[in-house]
Amino acid sequence: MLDETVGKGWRVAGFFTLMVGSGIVLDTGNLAAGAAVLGLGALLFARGAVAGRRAAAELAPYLGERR
Amino acid sequence: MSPLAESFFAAAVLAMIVLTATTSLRGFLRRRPDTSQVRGSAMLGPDIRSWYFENLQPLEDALAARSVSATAVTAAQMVLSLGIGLAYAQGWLFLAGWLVLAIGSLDIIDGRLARRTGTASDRGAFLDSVFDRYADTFAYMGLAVYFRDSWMLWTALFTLLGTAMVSYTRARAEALQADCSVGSFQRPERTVVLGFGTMFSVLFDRIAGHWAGLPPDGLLVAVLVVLAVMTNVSAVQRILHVDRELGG
Repeated sequence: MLDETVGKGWRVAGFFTLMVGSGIVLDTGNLAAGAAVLGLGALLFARGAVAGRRAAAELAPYLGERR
Repeated sequence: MSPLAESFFAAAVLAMIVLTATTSLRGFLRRRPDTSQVRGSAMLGPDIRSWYFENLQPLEDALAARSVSATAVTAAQMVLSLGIGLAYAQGWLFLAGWLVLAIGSLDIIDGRLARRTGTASDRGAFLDSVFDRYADTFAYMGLAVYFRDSWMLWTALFTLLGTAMVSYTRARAEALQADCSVGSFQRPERTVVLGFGTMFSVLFDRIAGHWAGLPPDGLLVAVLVVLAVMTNVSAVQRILHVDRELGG
């Protein structure tokens, strides 16, 4: 379960970076640069996803949901 | 990278785009936010627009917190749009498509930022419109350079003409106090069609087109033809509408 409103900035920034990394790989074939940007994007996205999951877990008891 | 590895990578990228967008959109629709205040079009309805605005909210918040002016965002959009033209001219199509969407989003943010900070003005609206025309032109100039050795050069130029006429007819009509609220292919629609069309063209070429022996850039060609026709149809719709409004 993910609270979509928490960590959204990180997830959007991560997705943006992932797309740039994908573009570098697809358009230039530069695997090293592309992988570095993809890695950075994955980290940013993961940070947002973790924040969203934590927020959802904290809210769950008040929403009558199972953790 | 081998063609097979490229195909797998492109398929993974496509899956990532579809999965992220559908998950986010489903979450948005599950919350059922009030979208009645949001204007929509046949292609981009209020729900899609509201969902997109919500995704831009963190960037808007960050810019507002740092007191970045809406005019600075507008100017940044124009300068960054040079990158779209260069990417197209260089043949970096996936990046160009993604930049069309990302930089096009700045066009939404500057207006929202101006209203939020109470700095909306005629000067801002004027600069926004003028810089948008530059931004549009850079993209189609890049496409014209990319397609310089084929008949598609004319399609790119025809699209550039259409986008200019869609804007000009409205500007001239409004200067004459005439209503010009017609035309289905306005800037947000053009941005979405060109951006996604370019990105998916690259992915389609890598995933299927290469193996099926199809000519490259087939989807981009189709998208550009649609844009060329639809922008000019919108311009003609506006010309006829304003002509009637003014007693023609």
